[in-house]
Amino acid sequence: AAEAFTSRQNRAKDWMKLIYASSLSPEAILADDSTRDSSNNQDGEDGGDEAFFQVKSKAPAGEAEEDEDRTKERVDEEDLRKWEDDELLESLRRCFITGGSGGDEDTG
Amino acid sequence: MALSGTALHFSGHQYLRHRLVLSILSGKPVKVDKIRPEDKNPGLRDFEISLLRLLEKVTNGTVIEISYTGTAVLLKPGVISGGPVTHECPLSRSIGYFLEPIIMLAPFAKSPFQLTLRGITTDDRDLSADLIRTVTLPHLQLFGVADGLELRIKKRGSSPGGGGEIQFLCPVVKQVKTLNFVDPGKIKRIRGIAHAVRVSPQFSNRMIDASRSILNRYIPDIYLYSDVYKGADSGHSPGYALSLLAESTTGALHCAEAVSQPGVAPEDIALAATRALLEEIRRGGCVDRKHQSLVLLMMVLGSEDVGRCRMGEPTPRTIQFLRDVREFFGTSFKIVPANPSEPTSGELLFSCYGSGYTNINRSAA
Repeated sequence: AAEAFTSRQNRAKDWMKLIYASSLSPEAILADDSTRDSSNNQDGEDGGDEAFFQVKSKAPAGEAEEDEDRTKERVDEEDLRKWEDDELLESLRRCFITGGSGGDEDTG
Repeated sequence: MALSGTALHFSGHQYLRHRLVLSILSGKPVKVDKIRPEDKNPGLRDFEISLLRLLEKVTNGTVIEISYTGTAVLLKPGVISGGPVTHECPLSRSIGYFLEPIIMLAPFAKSPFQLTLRGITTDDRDLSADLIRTVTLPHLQLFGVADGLELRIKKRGSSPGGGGEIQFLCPVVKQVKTLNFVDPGKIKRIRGIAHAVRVSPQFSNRMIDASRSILNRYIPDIYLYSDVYKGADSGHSPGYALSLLAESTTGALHCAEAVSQPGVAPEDIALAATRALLEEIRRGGCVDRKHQSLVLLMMVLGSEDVGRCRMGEPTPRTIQFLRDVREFFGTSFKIVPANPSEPTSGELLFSCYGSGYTNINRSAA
């Protein structure tokens, strides 16, 4: 467990450094992040959802595609398809007032 | 940080809007070059030219120089004058494209904005007039911009014909309040607007039913309003869309919308909007992705105190915005995981020391 903890610490992104002290493009910063996201969720709080979070939402958003000054994020139909799953829908219940304040409450 | 008098320099057509806004607010000239130099149709697009013209109208003394080829633009900002202005937006972008930067400027104008914009009210690229009214404006209220803040949708206009009209009223403030918004709360209600123009009014009801089929499982307090505009108020083209917003116990708003596409059933549009809303909710934070830049900007402009806000992961636009803010205002944010005991949640706490920006235009009036 200690080992898992330290590796997670290493994976936690230093956003300030990435944003202010690196010359990576914004897309590159986030692309790196999508790999982190999926691996994180395996030991994350979300229990049974790992399989669905592994859909890398940011990966296909290539540089060429993100060519416009637009406010709304491009909707990825494939990515939204994961919401057909019942377990994922249930996992959001904690965000609602009706969801009770169960054990994995994360309003810190 | 550039010396005063020399223009800050950027390249590329991306992020043009927020750079122009930052230039006008900070009073620092900005030069943008290499605007689509490799494109077979190089230079500024009609909507970008139109935005520059609009900025010229709402300010006084702004100098805009566009190079012969249109691939470079220099803006020397004047003062934000506000007042009654009318602008015809080209049909290549929706009204949201033009209104979003104006919303960032409007609280700091000399006299209150009474802006009339004509064009497309809803498209799939920028915030629709509905979302600006129901979500963006409440975000401004967090910063003390409240009395007299209003958006009226007089006519709706769908792509490609347009024909919509909105009126935006914004009061002026001396200074924006410091934000301290770290508790996202729990979602207590969901609201939505389904609108349909020049198609069967039944379409909006079909969207509402489909959206409810997913959302009903969460909370009972769901009210989706069917908004049908008829006759001359419905613009020149058929279209429909569903805008959804979730409001939490602490007033955090998450929103999403989907717009009609040829050959796609209203039910599928509604499902896309609903799932996009769930995706926003999953990302957490007090501010959704579409409004990160606006909130961060107002935090920078806040009084000289530490403002804090909890958000989900920044978008590419937000990351670039943070970098550009530092160029213009010298303000950088402290960004730490919102929940140090649980670094996996992805939620971040953004904090910064406000620059103490005061509305000099107003006091000069």
